[in-house]
Amino acid sequence: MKYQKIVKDNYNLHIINTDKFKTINVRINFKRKIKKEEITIRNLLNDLLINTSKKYPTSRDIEIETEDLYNVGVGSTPYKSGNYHIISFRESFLDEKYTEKGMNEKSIEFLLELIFNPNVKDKKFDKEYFDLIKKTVEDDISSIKDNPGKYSLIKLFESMDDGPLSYRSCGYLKDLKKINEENIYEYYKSVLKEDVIDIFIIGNINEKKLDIFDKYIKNNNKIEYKESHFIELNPINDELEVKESITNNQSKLAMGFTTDNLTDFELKYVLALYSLILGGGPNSKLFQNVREKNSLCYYINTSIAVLSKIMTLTAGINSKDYKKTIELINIELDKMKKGEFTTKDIEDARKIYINGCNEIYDAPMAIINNYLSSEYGGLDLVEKRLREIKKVTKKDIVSVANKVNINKIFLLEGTLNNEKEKTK
Amino acid sequence: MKKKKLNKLDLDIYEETLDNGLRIFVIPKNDVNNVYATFTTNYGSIQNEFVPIGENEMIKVPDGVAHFLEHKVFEQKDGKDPFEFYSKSGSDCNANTSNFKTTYLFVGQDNILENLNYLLDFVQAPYFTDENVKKEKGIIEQELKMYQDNPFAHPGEVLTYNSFIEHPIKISVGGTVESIYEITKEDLYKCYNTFYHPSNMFVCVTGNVKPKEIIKTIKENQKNKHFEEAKKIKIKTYNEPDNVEKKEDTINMNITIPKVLISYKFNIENTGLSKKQVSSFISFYTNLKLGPVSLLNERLKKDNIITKDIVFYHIKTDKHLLLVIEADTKKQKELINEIDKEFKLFNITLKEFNREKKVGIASCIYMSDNIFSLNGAVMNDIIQDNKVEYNLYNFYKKLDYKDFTKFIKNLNFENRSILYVNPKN
Repeated sequence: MKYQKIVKDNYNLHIINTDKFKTINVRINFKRKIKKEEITIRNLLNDLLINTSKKYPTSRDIEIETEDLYNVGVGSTPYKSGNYHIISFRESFLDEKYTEKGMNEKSIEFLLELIFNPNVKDKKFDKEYFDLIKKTVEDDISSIKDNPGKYSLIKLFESMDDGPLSYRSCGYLKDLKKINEENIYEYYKSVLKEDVIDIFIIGNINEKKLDIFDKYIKNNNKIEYKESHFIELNPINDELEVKESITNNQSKLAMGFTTDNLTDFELKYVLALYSLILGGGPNSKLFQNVREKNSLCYYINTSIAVLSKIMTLTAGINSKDYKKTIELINIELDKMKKGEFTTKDIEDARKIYINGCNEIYDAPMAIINNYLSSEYGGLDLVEKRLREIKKVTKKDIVSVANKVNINKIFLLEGTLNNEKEKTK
Repeated sequence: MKKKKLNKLDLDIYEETLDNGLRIFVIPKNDVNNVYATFTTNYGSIQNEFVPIGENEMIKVPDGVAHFLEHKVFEQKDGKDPFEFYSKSGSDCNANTSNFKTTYLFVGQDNILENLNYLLDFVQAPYFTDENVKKEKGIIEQELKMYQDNPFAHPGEVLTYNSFIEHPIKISVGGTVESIYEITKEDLYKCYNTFYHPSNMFVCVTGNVKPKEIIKTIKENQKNKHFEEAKKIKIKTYNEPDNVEKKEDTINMNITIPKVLISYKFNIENTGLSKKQVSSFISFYTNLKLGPVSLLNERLKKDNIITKDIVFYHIKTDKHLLLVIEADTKKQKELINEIDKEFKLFNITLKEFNREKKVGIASCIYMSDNIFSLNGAVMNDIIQDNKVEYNLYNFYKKLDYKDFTKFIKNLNFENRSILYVNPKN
């Protein structure tokens, strides 16, 4: 496997050459500094580009073409990455060795047509399609409560911070109202000009046949953003608990933990092992004690967000068990602080981390992510990760355990109570 | 050991059946790091009335037993926890239960043979006590409640319940909060002893392995264990009527946009087609009629009847196929009419049919690049047809437009159940 980054006039091209896969995968990212009021327009733009274009005006035309190109997979996701916002297009198609000669280039061209040749006339996006897509974005924003797990995390983040962590990825209705087919075209032009464009391509690729990108990508300013992706939180208040109710059977618990001035090594590696031991999987302290010993939940997990330097804990419980669950969690947090965990716990967690790294090489999109997160400065490359994780000691973990603090506890309280059934 | 080529996929499959009846399938893929091993019993939520091994009378067990049993198989007499065992090599260990099967699995890179041995050992050493059965009830209660609140999972379960009359596929895999509180350790042992016999199970390993080593390890492992002689398991058969139990129903959930679900119930006994062909044809037809490539989907969006694509899937029993359609819409009645009308009008061209075949062929190549999809395909083949399809590529190539047309034209789209899902309040 060979990786090279070619800095072009208008974009960065990252080529990963390997003959390991039957597919070729492409990812094209547009990145700029995050602004709360721009999230909605970027979501809408993302959906507009992937659902309609000049050559393929309707999403039906697009779908038929994907089938004709041997079921090529295209998709796009707008997402937050710390201080930045990214619109990311993905494509996965069969190496032409398995289909027909010339399909590689045709497939790439298809994706580029969608992104760079939009359904625009007289400096406006096609009104009919614009209205359709706007409606889907509106539905997405207004139905955030449909997924209680996701909703409880949104509310948790909003109670912890008023910066980028708290911004809703789905966007805001008040911003959506201001968008029309004309001003979104203006915005689109600014994206082509001012967003940093990174293209990743992995597979058995002939580099000489990648000129096609140059044909489509022109006049980008190649702004060099100095600020890192890492964010500092901006707390709103000192309240510890936030509750909201919902007429559901299950209550969703979401806890947010902040960290005190961790070093880069602590944040990326020590905190990772700490979280794996505490709530990383079925062998973790929380799973074993809250679920297995006390039968309070089906799932309980912790995970870390390196860019915002926080840890989150999620669990689904009965509302009446809320206090007991928090007590049990506190006991486990205290034990971690006192170093009451074994060398085996550390070695197991380290092994899980290492396997996770090795696994990256099995999937093309995971390999792209590896180079991508290193390009953005979030995580180190796998090789470095494997070296660094070996250095983490028990002392390091105890020290980090004492720098992890509960910041907020959010409970989405399910008000349907099935007490009667338990008497059986 | 039998070796077969998986045509056009650059892969081989190795098969072996042991003396005790256990079947083994291995697909080596040595350019990846991971190994995915599954150990599956041909036993899911639908086998809930049967004659327990060593008995004569048919019994009925509480709903949700297969899934409950899956949780409890992890319990070991020596108090050791399988999760702990697997974590020492950094491997993932898990299990899942469906209507048709229960699978125990691990994913890992190191100590593969040791991990494989342990997979067989922990699944083949049940240890159920009143206490450990009681302990699990709170955990499963939370799991069931999680699904009950889920607007993407719960409506489908209600609709399936309304669509079948006799067949236990109507009952959701996990059972209900009430039914799981009835489960006893005796129920678990009866089900376990009947359905976890090696002759009712199979192992499938995909990924970075040497087939000979895998088969030898499993052979050695089984040699030291004693099992009763394999007997045919007597499971209740159902004379499921063709009609649906309830033609219309309404539920309320915490959702913003109302939903409508339609299930079409087809008798697929005398089609002259294999189950695989039936599945492909139904998928092709539904996709061409309602999918993102359809004219209807485009028109419904333009007319503001739907904003998101319509979702569809199907489930099969020995006798029926249930096609489920799911959509978010404020205009439920209008949408039902449109879909009904569309299904009854057969106008699929040969060109469109061939495009769907092309998608099928491409998807089997995609599948072959992923050890999880490969393993999943083997499991589904065994559960559905009791044999592996070695030539999936040709299967798609050979699908015939005339067969397709005849099959679809004979389907009765009048036979359906509708579920309205409305927001609470």
